Amino acid sequence: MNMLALETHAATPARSLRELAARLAGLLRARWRLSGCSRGARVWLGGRVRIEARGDLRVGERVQLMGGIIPSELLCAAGAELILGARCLLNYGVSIDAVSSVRIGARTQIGSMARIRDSDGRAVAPVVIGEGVWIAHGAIIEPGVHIGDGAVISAGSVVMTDVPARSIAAGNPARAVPIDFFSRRRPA
Amino acid sequence: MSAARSIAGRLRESWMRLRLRACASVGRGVKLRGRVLVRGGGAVRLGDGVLLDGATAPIELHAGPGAELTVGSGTVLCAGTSIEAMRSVSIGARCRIGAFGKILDNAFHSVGDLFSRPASAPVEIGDGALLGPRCIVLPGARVQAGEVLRPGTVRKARGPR
Repeated sequence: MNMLALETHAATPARSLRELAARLAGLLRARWRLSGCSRGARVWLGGRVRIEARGDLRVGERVQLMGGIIPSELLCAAGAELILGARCLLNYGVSIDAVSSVRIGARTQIGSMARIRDSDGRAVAPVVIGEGVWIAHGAIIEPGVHIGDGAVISAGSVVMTDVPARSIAAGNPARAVPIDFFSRRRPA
Repeated sequence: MSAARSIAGRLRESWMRLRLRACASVGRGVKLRGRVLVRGGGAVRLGDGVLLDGATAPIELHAGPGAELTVGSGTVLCAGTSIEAMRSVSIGARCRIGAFGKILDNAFHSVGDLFSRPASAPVEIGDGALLGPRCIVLPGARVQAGEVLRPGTVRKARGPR
């Protein structure tokens, strides 16, 4: 993973001229690639991303779309809405496909190769993802799923049912268990 | 005829070494297809006859500063494989990592606090292990020698976290 984006997120000063240049280039690339849609301040785009915004694509402030070995895609069909909350972070190879509605809350982090869709080709059901959710590498979120705030979706899981707030979902099909069952860390 | 062939072989070998110059050590007869990204400040070591097949999707070998990423001789990495070592990832000899595999020794986030980085837990994959496509090997996990993981398997560390 490109750690640059995380550090930009934490608003640490750039340590080298090269890093500063990469940050500026990402800000400019985001302006260019997201010029047609509603975009908050300081959106950062670090690599190849396929963007098809025929509907209402809204990207919040300080959202970061990272680059990597495989391009990400944000697909928003005509009449659909795709909302990325403020300070969301998307790693490489993420695919979000909105036919009616996909809403992702603020500070949610989506790992590489994750897939989110609101239609399986026949049925269409909106997807709602809460704030501060961590979706790990290769997870698949199926249509109609609601994920609560602060939930964790583990790597490679296939989520077909709702996930309550502050719980960990794992497996195929994914089953949710409260976070406090695993971790003694105090809630953030 | 055989002279021409040996010259071609040497040229191919030096071209491969030039492309893998970011690696700490590269064995003999390593084969390279498509795009292979070697990143980070750590040591990436490839054994003899490793095949990096990035023809349909690039391969990423990422060793963070001070980290070690070792791939044993005769191992095949298929397209889209991404290996991230923040401390140590070692893959044995004659393994096969299927397409879009992911192997990492650090989760980069902690459960309950997205912005704190957990400690690394080394990953070890034994000789002759066969990982199907889209397998994920999580921090601290072990794959035994000769083990066969079905496609899409997620292997995690045993015991309490």
